Formats: sequence, structure tokens, C-alpha cells
Amino acid sequence: MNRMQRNQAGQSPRRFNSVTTAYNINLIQLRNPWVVAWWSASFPGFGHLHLGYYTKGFILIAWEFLINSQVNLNEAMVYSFNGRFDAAKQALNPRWMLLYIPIYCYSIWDSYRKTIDLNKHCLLAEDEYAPIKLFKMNGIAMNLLEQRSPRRSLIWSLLFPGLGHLYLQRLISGVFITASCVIISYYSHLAEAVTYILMGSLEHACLVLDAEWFSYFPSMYGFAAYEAYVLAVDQNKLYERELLQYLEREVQPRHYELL
Amino acid sequence: MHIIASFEPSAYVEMAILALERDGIDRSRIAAVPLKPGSANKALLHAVQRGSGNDAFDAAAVLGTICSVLSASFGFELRWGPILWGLIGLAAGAGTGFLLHRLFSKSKTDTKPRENASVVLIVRCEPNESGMISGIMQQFSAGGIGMLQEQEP
Repeated sequence: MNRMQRNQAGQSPRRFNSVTTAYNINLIQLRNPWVVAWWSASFPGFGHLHLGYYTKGFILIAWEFLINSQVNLNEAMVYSFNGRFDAAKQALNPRWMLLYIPIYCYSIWDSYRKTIDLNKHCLLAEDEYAPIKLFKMNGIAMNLLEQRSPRRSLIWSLLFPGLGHLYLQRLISGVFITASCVIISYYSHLAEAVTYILMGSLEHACLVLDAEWFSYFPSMYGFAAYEAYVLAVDQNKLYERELLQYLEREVQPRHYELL
Repeated sequence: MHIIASFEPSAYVEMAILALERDGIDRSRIAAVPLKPGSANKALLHAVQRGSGNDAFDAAAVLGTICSVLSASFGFELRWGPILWGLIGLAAGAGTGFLLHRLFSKSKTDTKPRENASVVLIVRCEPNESGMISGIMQQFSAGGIGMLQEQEP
């Protein structure tokens, strides 16, 4: 009895690497641990989101928003990069500052370590022919595993972060990223500044922007675009694997004679 | 005789099988053979440590984001402001990432296995059915269609 037949016989697999729910498809893919660690460094929680640890990722991101705005870290970062070290020291709030460091380091370390564990799990699970769920529906939502264009997903995400995720039926991270970016845009006066740029007055655009809030945006933007592309590729691979498993199982008559 | 057609893996394969069955071709006469990409048996430990996927895109995204964060910060002191400098940084970093990956990746010389699988559909039929069957297969975007004739003894 090979692995595929064992799973057809209804024995549930020990390891599997995708779950389809009405609101989200969560899947495990081989990842480069250094890339995941980098996303955690760019914004604590992103690495965990990318791996599929949504709860942990959201908690870390919420913490980052809280402490960064309390410490004024982004503002101090802008001052430091521009060589205004005294202004940077002035901006930082010592009451919160040291609390930042351990959790920042933990999130990088943890996402690196988790990636390696999940990579091992992923290889073993693929070998088990774990069943893949094609479709899930409930009273208010549905989710069909379909082929999606990575490029279209990337373009939507570049237009506004989170839209690529929504295109891929990643409802939870899609809504979270879109909402975060709307909030960041509001407090940083980003949309106003873009209007000024379009009207050609660069000075006004510069004056109206808030450094503390705007500095969240580049890493959000980069991460959302990266994930939108990568998840579309992963989803297509998953779709393909499901289809091939189905064909091998159902469309191969047992005593088929070719000649 | 047999009609043999190749497909990209997509819902069209399933639709083609459904259409064949509706036109009276029994399931027992249809066989689908997935052709999986020839996996060049990657070293397991390498896969665990380095993952898989699009290295060039990884490099571009990571470097693009780093440069975007930095140049947006510099932008606060520059005339064009942080938004435009942030976008310039993103583009420049992503471009540099692609180029560095081109220059330094060793995989250029390796023959890369094809990424995508394909499906071969085989249908046993009488000669008078062959036109109908290849018609259905064309309708559902078969990549190529061929026939296997029985040799008369």
C-alpha cells in the first residue's frame, strides 16, 4: 500500500500543509529563512504573517504600532539617517525605549527558527499526499482554490497595499493590511501629500507629511507587494497539486490497455 | 484507436473530461496521466536551509524595501520629499537586487527543470468518434492532439 492509497483509505494524514476555510487559505511552503527574518526586521510580525502564523503576527504588529508611536522611534530614525543626532535623542521617549529591543529581537529569531521547522514539515507533508481542500462555503462567504495571476496580484498591491491579498481570497491579512495602510495614510497625511505632488507643489507635500507615521509606510508597501506575488505563485502550485492528485485518483481506470 | 492530447493543468481538463462523458465516452475509456516536472532531486537539507521559490524576486523585494525605507528618511531633508524619494529608492533597490542576483547566482549554468506540470489525456475510441473527440479537446484548449492507430496485422 503506498502513501496515496493509504490516504484514500481514509486514514487521516499526520502532516498536511494547507487548510481551506471560507475566509482564508492558509498554506505552508518552502521559504528562505533569511528572507523571513528580514521581513521580521523590517516590521516585527511580518515574518510570522508570511509563514501563516496570523495570530502571533497580528499581536506583534499591534505591539510595534503601540511602542513605536510611544517611543517616537520612526521620527528618531529619520533624524539619525539625516545626521541630526541631537534631534533624534530629543525625540526618543526613555520611558518606553528599552521595552522595544527584546521583543524586536525575539520576533526576528523566532520567525527564522520557525521557517526551518516548517520547511522540514513541508517536505514531509508533501510526501504524505495529504488531501487538499478545493472548496469551502458557509452562510456568508465562500472560497474556491483557483489559479490566480501573480502579476495582477502584484499590480493591485502596488496600487494599494492589501488589495492583492483580497484578490487571492486572503481575507484576514488583506483586510488587516488595507486597514493599517488607511490608518497610516490618514495620520501621516499621505493622501494630502500625494495630491500636492500631483499639483506640482513639492514643498507643500513635504511640509504636510508626518515623519513618525509616514515611516511605517515603505516597509508595509514592500511587504504587501512581495507577499501578494509570492502567495499567488504558491496558490497556483497548490491548485496544480490538487488537480493532479484528483486525476491520478479518479481518471485512471485500473485495467486500462493502451493497445 | 486512441486520441492523445496534452493540457496545462487547469479546470479545462476537468471540463474536457465532463464534455467527453456527456457525449457518450465512458469513464473507463479515459485516462489522465499527470506529467510532473522532472525534479532534479534537490538535496533535502539545502531545501530546509534555503527554501525554494523565486530567488531573484526575493532579492529585489528585500533590497527594494531597504532602499525605500532609507531614501524615504533622507527625503525629509531633500527637495523632492519622502514620497517620491521612497518610490525612487524602491525602484532603484529592486533593480539592484535583480542585477546582483543575475551577477552572483550560480544557477545560471544549471539546467533548470521546468516549473509547471502538464496533463496527458488518453481516450480510447472507434475511428468514427475521433473527429468529435479531438473537436472537444480543441475546444478546451488542448496544447497538442495526436492519434495512436492500431496496426492491422
